Amino acid sequence: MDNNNRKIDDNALNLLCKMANISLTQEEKDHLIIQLNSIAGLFDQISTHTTKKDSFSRRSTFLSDDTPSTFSNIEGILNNVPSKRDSSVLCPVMKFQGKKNEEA
Amino acid sequence: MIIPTIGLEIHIQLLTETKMFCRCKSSFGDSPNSNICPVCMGYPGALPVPNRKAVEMALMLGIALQGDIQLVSDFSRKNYFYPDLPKGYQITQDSIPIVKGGCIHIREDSTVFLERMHIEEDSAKMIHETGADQTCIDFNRAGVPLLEIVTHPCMHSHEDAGIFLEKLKQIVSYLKISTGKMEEGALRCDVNVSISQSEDTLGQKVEVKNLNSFRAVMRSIQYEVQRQTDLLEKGIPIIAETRTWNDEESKTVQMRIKDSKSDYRYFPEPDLHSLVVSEEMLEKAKCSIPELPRDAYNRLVTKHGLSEYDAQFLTASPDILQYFDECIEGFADPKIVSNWISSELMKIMNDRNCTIYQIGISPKKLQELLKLIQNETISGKIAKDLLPQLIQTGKNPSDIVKEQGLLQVTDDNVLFEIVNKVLQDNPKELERYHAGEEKLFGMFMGACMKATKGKGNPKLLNTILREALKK
Amino acid sequence: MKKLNSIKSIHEAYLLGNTTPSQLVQECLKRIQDQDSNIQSFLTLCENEAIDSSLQLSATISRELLQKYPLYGIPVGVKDNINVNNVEMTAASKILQNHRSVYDATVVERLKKKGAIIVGKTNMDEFAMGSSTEFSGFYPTKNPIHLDYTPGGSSGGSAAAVKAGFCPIALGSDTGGSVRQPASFCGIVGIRPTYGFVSRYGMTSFCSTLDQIGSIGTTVDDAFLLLQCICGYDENDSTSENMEWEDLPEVPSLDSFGILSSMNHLQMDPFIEKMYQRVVQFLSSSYKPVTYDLNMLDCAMATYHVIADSEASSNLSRFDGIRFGQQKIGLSSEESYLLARTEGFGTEVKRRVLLGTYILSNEFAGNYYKQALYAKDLVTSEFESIFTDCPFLVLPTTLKMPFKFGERKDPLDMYYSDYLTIPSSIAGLPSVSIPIGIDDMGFSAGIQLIGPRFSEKLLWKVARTIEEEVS
Repeated sequence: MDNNNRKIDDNALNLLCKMANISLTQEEKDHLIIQLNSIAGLFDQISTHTTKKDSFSRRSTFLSDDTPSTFSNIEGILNNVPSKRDSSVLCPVMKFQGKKNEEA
Repeated sequence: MIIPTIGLEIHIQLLTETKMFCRCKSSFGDSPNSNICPVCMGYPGALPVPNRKAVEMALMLGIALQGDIQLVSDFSRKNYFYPDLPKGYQITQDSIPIVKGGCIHIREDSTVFLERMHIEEDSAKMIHETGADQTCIDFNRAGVPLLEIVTHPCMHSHEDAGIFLEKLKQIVSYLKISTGKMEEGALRCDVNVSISQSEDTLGQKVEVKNLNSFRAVMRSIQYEVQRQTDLLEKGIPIIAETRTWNDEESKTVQMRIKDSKSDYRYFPEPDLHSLVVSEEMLEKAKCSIPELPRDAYNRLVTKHGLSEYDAQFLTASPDILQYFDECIEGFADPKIVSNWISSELMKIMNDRNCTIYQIGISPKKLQELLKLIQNETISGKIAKDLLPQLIQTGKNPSDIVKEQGLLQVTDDNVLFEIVNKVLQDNPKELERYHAGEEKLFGMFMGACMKATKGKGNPKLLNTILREALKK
Repeated sequence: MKKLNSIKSIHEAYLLGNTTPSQLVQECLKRIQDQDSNIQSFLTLCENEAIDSSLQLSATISRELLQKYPLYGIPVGVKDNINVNNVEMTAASKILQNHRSVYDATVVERLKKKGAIIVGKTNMDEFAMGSSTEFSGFYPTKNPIHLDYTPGGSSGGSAAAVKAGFCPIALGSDTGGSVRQPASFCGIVGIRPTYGFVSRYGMTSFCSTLDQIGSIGTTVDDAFLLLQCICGYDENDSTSENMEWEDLPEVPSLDSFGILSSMNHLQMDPFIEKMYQRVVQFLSSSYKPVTYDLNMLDCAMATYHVIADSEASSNLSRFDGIRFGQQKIGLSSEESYLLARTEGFGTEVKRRVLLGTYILSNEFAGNYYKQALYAKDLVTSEFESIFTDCPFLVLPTTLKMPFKFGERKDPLDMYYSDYLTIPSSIAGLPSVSIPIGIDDMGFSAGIQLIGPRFSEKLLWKVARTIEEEVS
C-alpha cells in the first residue's frame, strides 16, 4: 500500500498550521519541522507490519431511546460563554458574510 | 445542442423528539440556547450516544426509496472549523452510509437514481441580523438529526429537479419523518449543474448553494445552464467553483473556487462503535411504512375509479389522503368526496391557511352531510350552504337540516305547481325558448330553484321542467 | 498526628473513633496548604466542597456504611482533565483557564455517591500529552522523593499528591502509560483498567480509542478499591463495556506467567533490570516462567503515535474560545480562532495537533490512521495468543529510572518513556504497576503486570502477593 506521503517542509507546515488554526513563530517552525519529520519516520514501522489489509474489528453501538431530558445546568453553560447577548452566544468579530466558507 | 445535467444534495431534518447524539429536545422556535447540554455544546469530556429513532427513520426512507440498506455502517468525523460547529468536527457517515442507492420515479418513464443516504448531525444556527454588529449563534439546532441524500447526476431539466424535490417531500411527509418544508429549513438543497454537448460526456460541474425554495432551485438551474452555455459559446472554460444564489437579483454569484483545501480529514468516529441494524429494527421499519404516495394514487384510480387528476390532488399530502380515506369508509361515493375536498374544503384551507383537519369538520361528519345529498334529503346546494354552520356549531348535519326545515322538496305536485308558476311568470322567455334559445333552460331552472328556496330536488325539477317545456 | 495514608488505616481510625472525616479532611487540606508549595501537585483545591461533604459524612458515619463503602470518608485527588461540577477544570491548559465544569464526570458521580471526598484537582501535562508534567501550562510538579526530579506524567500531579501524603488515592488518566509511569516514578501503585471498564464520560478526551481513567494509591489494595468504586457500564459512554466488578471472571488457577525473553536491545536501566529479575525469581517459585519475544514493541510505539496524535488533533478542535475557555479577539473570526489556540496551547500540544493533522490529511499522509487501526489489531492478536498460553505477563513499567527536569529535551526521547506501557494500551488490556525496591536516590523500579481483558481480579491477587513479598 503506497502512502505517497510527503516529507514535512516549510510549505507543508504552513498548510498544516492553517488547517489546525494554530500559528507558529519562524523559530518554532524550524524546530518543529525537524521534530515532526523524525517522529513521522516512526510511521514506516506500521507499513512493514501491516502488508495485508485486515478489516479492523467492529462492534455494535448502543442506540438510545428518543426520550427528551433537560440538562440540569444550562445556566452554568451560559455562564461559561466568553461573550454573549442575553442567551445568545456571540461569534467573535463576525458580521454578516453570507454563507460560510467551509460548509457541511 | 446543450444537454444540462443536474445532481442534487439534499439534507432533511428529522422529526425526532431529541437530537442525534444527546437527549436534548429537538424543537423549533424555542428561545435561543434553551435546548443545550455538554454534548451538543462540544464540552470537554462529553460523548455522543446515537438516537435509535433517527436510525429507524433513515431505514424507513431507505426502504421506501428501494435503497440498499447497509446492515453495518460507520460514523465518521468530518473535521473543519466554523463557529456553528461546536466540536470542530461533524459526526456524519463517510465510507459506509446506512443506505446505498435508491430511486424516485418522477414520471412514468423517468427515474432519478440516488447514490447514497446517510445520517449526520446538524450545525448550530448563526443569526446575522441586518444592521447588527455581531453574529449570534443559537445551539438549539446543533445536533438535530439530518438525513443527507445524494442523487446521481441524472436529471436533465430544472423541471425534473423540481418534480424530484416535490416527490421527495411528499414521501418524507407520508413517512412522517420530516415536514420536508424548505421554507422552514426542514429540507435543504444544494445543486450541481453541468452542461455538455454530447450524451456520453459530462461537463465541469458547478455547485450552487443558498437555495430557499423549490422555485429557487429551479430558477438557479435555469440561470446556471444559461450562464454556462454563454461561456461555452464564447470558448471560456467553466471552472470548478461554488456559487451562491442571489434571489433578489435572480442570479448565481461566485462564492469560492473549489480546490483541494477542503480537506476534511475524515476518519472513523472513535467514540462510537459501528451502526448495526438488527433484523428486528429492519422489520419494524418495514412495518412502519404506510401506504406510499404512488401506491395510494394507484389505489384511488383503480379501486375507487377516480380520475388521475383527482388521485394526484388527493395524494399530494398525507393528511388529505387520510381525510379522504376516513370519509369514504362505509360510503360508496368516492367521487363526491373527492369533489368536495378539492373544492369546498380546499377553499376553506386556502382562506384560513389551515390544514384539512384544522378546518373543523371531521371526515365522518362530512360523510354524513354527503349521505344526505346522496339519499336526496337535501340538495347539493343546500349542503354547500350548510357547511360553514356545521363547522361553526359542530352540530350533526341531520340535526341542522331538521332544525331549519331544509328537507328537499320531492313532492311531484308541489314541484309541478312551482314550474307552472315560473313558466307563467316568464312568458316572453318562454316564447324565446320555444323559438330556439335553449340556453334559457338554465334561467328557468334557477328561477324554480329559487322558488323552492333551494330545496327543490334538482333531478326531479329538471325532469318536470323539461316535460312542462315540451308542451 | 500520625499520617493516615492508606484506606485501611483511615477506616480503622474512623471505627475506633480516633478521627472523623471532617477532621481528616481539615488535616489533609492543611497539609496541602503547608507543603504543596514545594511539590505543586494541585492546581485547584476544593476546600469548601470537601469540608461540607466531610461534615455530612461525619454526621452519618456508621460501621455499616464503612463496611459497605470502602471509600467512605476517604480523600481523593482528581486529575484536572476530569470534570467535577462547579469546580475549575483546565486540563493544565491556559486555554481553559477559569473554565468551570458544569457537570460531574461519571466516575466523580460514583465517588461522591459512595462517600469519597474530592479534595482537589491535580496537575498534569497539558491535555494529558507528556510523560513528566513539565508540559503543564501552569507549573511543573516535583517528585516528592527528590524535588529535582519529575514525577513522571501525564498524571504527575496525582502521583505526587499521593506520594506526598496529601490524599491516599487519586484518579489519573492513562493513554499510553500516563498512570503507570508516574506511579512508577513516585514509587506507588498505578492501575490502567481494561479499555471500556471505566467510563470516559466527563474526562477531557485526548485519544478516544486509548484513553482510560486509572487509579493511583500507596498500596495495591487501595488502588484496586478505587478502581472497584468507579468501574462499570455507563450508557453515557458508547465505548463503555457491559461489565460490572461483580461480573468479572474469578481468578483462574495460575500455573505460569510470561516474561520478556531478552532485554539487551532495550537499553534498560540496570536497577530496573535487577528489580525485574527479582520479581521474576519470586514468581518463579510459584509459577512457571514462559518467555516471549514481544515482536510488536516497535510497531506499537508507531501505532500509538499515529492513533493518539490523529485523534488528539480532532478532539482538541473544540477549543476555540467561542462557547467556553479563553477567548481572544482578532480582526476576523478566523484570526480569533488562531489567537485563542496559538496563545492557549503549549508547545507539545501544538506539536501533537500538527502531527495529527498531518496524519489525517489527504494532502499528506492519507492512509496512516487506517493502517494504524489494522496494526492495533495485530498487537491485540499477539497478546491474545500469549494469553492462551499463560494467564499474565510481567514487564518493567519503564526503561529508565526517573529523570530530572529538563533532561528529556528531544520529544522522541520523551516518547520512549512510554515504550513498555504503550503495548498494553494499544491492546486495551488492564495493567498494574507496583514499586519494587529502592535505589540510592530513593526511587523504586516500577514493574507492571499485564493480563487479558477483564482480568483485574487476577492482577489484584498477584500484585498483592508481590507487594507482600517485597515489603
